[in-house]
Amino acid sequence: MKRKHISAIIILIGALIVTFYSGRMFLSMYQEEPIVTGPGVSSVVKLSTYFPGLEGSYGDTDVYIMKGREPGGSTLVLGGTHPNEPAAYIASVVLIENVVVKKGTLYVIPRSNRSAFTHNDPQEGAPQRFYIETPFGERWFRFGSRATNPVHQWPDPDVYIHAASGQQLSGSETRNLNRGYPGRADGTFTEQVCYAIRNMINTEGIDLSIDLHEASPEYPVINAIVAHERAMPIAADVAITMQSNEVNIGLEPSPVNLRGLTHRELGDSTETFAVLMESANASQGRLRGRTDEALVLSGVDPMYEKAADLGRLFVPYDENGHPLEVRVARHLFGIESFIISMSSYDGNKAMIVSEIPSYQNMVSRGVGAYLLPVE
Amino acid sequence: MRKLSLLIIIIAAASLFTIGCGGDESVSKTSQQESAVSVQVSVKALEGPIAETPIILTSAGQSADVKMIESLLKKGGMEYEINEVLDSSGLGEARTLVIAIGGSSKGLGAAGIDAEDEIDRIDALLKEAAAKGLTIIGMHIGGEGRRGELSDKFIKASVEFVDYLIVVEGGDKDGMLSGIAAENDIFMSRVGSIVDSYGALKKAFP
Amino acid sequence: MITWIYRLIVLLVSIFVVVNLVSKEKIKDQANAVIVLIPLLLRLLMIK
Repeated sequence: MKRKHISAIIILIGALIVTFYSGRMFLSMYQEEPIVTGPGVSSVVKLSTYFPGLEGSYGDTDVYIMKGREPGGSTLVLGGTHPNEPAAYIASVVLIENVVVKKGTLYVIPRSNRSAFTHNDPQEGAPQRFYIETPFGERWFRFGSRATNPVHQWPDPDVYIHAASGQQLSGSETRNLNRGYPGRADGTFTEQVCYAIRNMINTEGIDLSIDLHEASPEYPVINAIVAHERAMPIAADVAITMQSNEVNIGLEPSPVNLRGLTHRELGDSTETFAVLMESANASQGRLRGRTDEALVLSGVDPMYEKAADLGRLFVPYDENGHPLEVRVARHLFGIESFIISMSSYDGNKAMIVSEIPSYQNMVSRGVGAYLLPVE
Repeated sequence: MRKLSLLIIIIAAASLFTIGCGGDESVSKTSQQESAVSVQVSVKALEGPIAETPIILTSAGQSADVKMIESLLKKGGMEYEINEVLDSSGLGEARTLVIAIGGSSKGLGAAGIDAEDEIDRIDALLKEAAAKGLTIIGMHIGGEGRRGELSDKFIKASVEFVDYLIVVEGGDKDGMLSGIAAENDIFMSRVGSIVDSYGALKKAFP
Repeated sequence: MITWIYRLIVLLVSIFVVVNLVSKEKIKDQANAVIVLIPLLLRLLMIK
């Protein structure tokens, strides 16, 4: 055997070893972190209940239902639309593990784009997981991607054309759940998930839909509520409540010409009050420095401090960063305020929900204090 | 010759680097100083009522702040009408025009108008309101978040026409709003939060 | 269907890369080829 053949075999074996270990690392993202069903959860159903076409696919995700004894209004909370926006996901998990509904029904989908949790974005250097200390030990959560895994939906077109409007966006947006609404039964994988969520809202007659997000500190719509015009009176009330409690939040109307997003399409294609909330997340931003678990949890980033000094950001940024507990607290405060505001806006849609951690308690005690032990 | 070229390149690179670093530092210091100093300009405080109902509420810049003001008026039980895109022919029987100042690109998109058209609308509306003898109250309640290139256009287009200006103080850190108020002899209240802005508005009515 | 055609194409390209790798005399050139091969294998297996 020639020398070159020996070296080729050695190199090929090396390649197989690297492929095996890297493949195993990538596949580990498919392992789902535990979510503990809290005392208020009355049932857990699959999203495919509302669109059987999703059954068995990575678009089929858990819907946690918390039904009160008394009939009343209903609210849907969407977490994990973009799994690289951890406060949105964690806020929905905290709801599932803590909240008790006395009147009405609360629906929570923590992993709205379940496929996007199974990978993270190439060349971003993002961590695969982050860990939260609890009194019972550590809990782990995945830090996924903004978009559906291309293994589940490919190829991306050069230009993504939104089916209902003809709006043109860059090709990769075809895998963005929050550009695919109202969805299509015979559409792409992502559009089918959108379609199932829309069907669920229509089937259950859900009164209020809150889509949780985070945004880069350099993005103008941040620490904000975006509301469909029908939801605007409620959203205005919520913004006033939050601001009067010294939680700085802006209010933006949902543009009619920006299509495919929850606050536009769910408001137009269902009877729900559609709103979206954003908090500030450095770990998804373009100006960030080192991207690691610490950045996800603390939001402390010297690069963003510098950007703030240069007046380039839309949120204040100092050495305290924007910790996860503050971002989760903002979302929870917003959700509670929306439920209260909707209840006073229309008595038929009234809900009574307890055990949502207060803003102050979440900030002072941290997320871990509100996570349950995993059996 | 080659050594000389190399030397020139090194000197040029070093000077560029020095200029670059120096520039960054000065920008950083300037902006730090700007953000640390809150400019206070003395303005004329409102001493008694100057307005009467009915109120017509509109926006300058199409931000959703107008909806928050509406929510406050509704909770306060004040008589009002709202039209975010009110034009100069729509003032009707109103005696007071309340204008929510602050730009939003999403809001302009929602209304389907561009910033220049919005400025033209406000200009014509405010001139007509002044000609009809309406009291004009401007409210900038969005704080720091409703400042910047887009919002400042609407501030400049509207504030000089108002009789009374209510500002949530985060929006006037650089003294721009109080500067215009002082220059034009406008009554002005600086308040801590949006909820306080309702108290300041109420003071304008008997 | 389209996925299977795609995977077949990736398989063919992977084979060409391996043939190219084996035919190279220098280790540096072989290493070059193997860097191309790893992502192809991950794609072929639909892992990434």
